[in-house]
Amino acid sequence: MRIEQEKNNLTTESKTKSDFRSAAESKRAPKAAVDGVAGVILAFADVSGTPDQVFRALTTDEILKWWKFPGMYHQKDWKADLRICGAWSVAVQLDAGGEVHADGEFCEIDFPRKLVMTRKFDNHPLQGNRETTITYRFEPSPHGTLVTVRDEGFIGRSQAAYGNAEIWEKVLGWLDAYLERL
Amino acid sequence: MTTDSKTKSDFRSAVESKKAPKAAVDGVAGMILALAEVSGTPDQTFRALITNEVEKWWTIPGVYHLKDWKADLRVQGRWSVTVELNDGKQLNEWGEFCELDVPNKIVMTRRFGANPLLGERETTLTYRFESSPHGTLVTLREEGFIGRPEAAYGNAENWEKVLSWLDGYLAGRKKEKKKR
Repeated sequence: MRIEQEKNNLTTESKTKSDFRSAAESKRAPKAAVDGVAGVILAFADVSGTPDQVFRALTTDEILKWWKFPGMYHQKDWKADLRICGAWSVAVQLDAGGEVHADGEFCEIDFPRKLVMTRKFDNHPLQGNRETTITYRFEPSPHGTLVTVRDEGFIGRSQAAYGNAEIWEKVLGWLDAYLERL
Repeated sequence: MTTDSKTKSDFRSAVESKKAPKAAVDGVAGMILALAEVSGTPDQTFRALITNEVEKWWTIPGVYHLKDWKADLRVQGRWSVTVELNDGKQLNEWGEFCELDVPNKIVMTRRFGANPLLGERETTLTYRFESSPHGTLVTLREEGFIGRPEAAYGNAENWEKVLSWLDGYLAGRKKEKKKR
């Protein structure tokens, strides 16, 4: 059974890989992994759109159009002072009722290649008030833009990291779907 | 959504089901980060990775298998293995152990004899093993790919497979033990 599955995988991969050590050439689906001891999440995905479009989708009120978890929450009141040490904030409206807030500041803005920003939540059951630092990198790729995300600062709060990693995969999926529709 | 709500107490929590292998890459930092929950104890997982048990499970059917595992299990001790491709060609992998903390952590270097993407570059693997409700949570960092991101993206895909084979092997051993 497992051998059959492996054979099927190989057949599929042989269409898209020149060598078994190469990555598949198909669009990279969102993936996030966690180093719980180091308190780091690493995530990446190929998304549609140019680095420029991706950068804007993450740093302007466009974010309200796509960063939403159907049945769980949507965001509103995005504010961003888009310069180094500038503050950003957003309100997260929970579908079950209630509102939480996320905020932080921009640390590095290298349009359209890199964005570093801090983030903390005012009412997070796993993360408390811990601030994390998010580094986004945007590189042109054959499928649009390769987005790499590092979210650091979870030392001692590994459960928050494992939870957030799953959410990062969703977020990158929503971002891709939004940019595909543009 | 429906599935998540069955296994999560809060949308910010990780699902409680067994963590499938996932590997992500930071191409600029030259690093792969991977994790998975595998069957078996940390001790069993540790041994499956650093003894000749590795020959039993680290194989891509139809592509390659490993043989001639050798390991001098001490800090600065060498390890090596032969990768036999299905067309008969043989490649070599080797490196040394940097840290051995049974059954919690392994740090080891790795080089390949003929890797089209990685060349002669040495990478450093750090495995961590933690008991988890589903067996052992394995976290893996592989570092040293700066300037060779394509090797990192390829290796990341392979790590997901390797962690899945490791889980399959350890799950099989568990079943065998129960039968006895």
